[in-house]
Amino acid sequence: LPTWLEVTGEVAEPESSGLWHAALFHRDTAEFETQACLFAEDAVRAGAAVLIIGPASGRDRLRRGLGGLNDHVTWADVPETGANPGRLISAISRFAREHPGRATWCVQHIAWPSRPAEEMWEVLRHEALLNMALAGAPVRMLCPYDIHLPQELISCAEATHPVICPHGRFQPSPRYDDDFLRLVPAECDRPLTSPPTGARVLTYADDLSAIRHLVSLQASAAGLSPSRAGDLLIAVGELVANTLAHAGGPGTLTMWTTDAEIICQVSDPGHITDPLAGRLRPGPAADHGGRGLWLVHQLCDLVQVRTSKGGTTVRVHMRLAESG
Amino acid sequence: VWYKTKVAPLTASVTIHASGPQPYTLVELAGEADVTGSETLHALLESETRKRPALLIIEMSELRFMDSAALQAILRAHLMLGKGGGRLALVSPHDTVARVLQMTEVDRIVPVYASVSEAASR
Repeated sequence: LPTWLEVTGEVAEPESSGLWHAALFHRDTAEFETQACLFAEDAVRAGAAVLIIGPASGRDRLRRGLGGLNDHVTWADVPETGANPGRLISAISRFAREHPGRATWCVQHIAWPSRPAEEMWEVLRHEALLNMALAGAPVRMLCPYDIHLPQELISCAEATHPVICPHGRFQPSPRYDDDFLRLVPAECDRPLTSPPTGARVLTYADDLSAIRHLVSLQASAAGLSPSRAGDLLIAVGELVANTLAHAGGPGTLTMWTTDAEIICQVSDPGHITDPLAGRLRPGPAADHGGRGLWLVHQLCDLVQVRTSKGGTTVRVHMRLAESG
Repeated sequence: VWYKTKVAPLTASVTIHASGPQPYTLVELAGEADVTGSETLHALLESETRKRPALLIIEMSELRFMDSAALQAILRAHLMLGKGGGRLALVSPHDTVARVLQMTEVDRIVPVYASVSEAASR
């Protein structure tokens, strides 16, 4: 099997210092594991810091394949459900910062066929934003995609990765467009499903304390654990605060509970113009703000943002069962 | 109590402890500190900071909520105090307030103590 070292072309030269971001289309777990091990081997040879992000369930097999390379690998488990992809850019950047003077090579296993579609579209949005956020960074990302995923997701993976590996060979992706303005594929911005009838709808202006109180009540009625109810309260608190700080008009909170989740949605007339808002961690001493949406991403299991000049809707999901 | 000001739903009490081996200004926050009160909180902390106390303690045991806008006001006080050689200490944050400090890692740059006496003795 070829490794990235054999890849030709400007996108994948070993000496190139910027982001290298590849989708590995694999037929089965064995193919993914083989490629991941080769990638890790090359990484160690190149003196890079190695990060493997993926579900804990696949870790033992991968560990066996890595053998002696395990000592060089940092693992970041993502739960199979409720692993908000909106946190990953700041997690990867942080890992890279913690290894100064070295490249970061990362296996990012965050797409799998049983993952719900609304999560998968956020995975792909994250892949698109990663190109912008880490442009120029000495980071190599290998992102496995099972070819049995629906075709529209595969196409979107091709559009969000400058490099693809469809048949064991790395090559530039013909679908990738490096114009940052068109970076997030339109499929990722399809309208959100309508809230169910029976959802609680509340309009607020500056009575944020009352809104937070209602979120607390709904969270405990839904059976969310106290600590996660606290996290949801912080997240919704940031979203409604954003309405006051940025939207210049009243907002609407819509809340409902499904079998698996409690969902809160905040809509207001604001427009989030920075697609990376909330994706990058502000340093602890940064005094310019930017923490609100970042916190929302850290605290919630899934965050969906739809924003335009006409207004913004942010929908946050908290799983009722503790996620892994 | 030196003075007391109420910004619904946040209450702030300021006391200046001038005697003792370690003089300090104590700001006790109670209620909920969010974007609606963050400018007032910022103004209050700024005016206390301008008096150049060696130590400014923010007591948080009665603070039930703090959003990032309020955190911002606290951070600015920390930075301003640092420039003048003073320092900021936080006391008794709990639940969601402690969670926000921990998530943002502000608790790594601003020391957090269990009590005012502990903060004042460091």
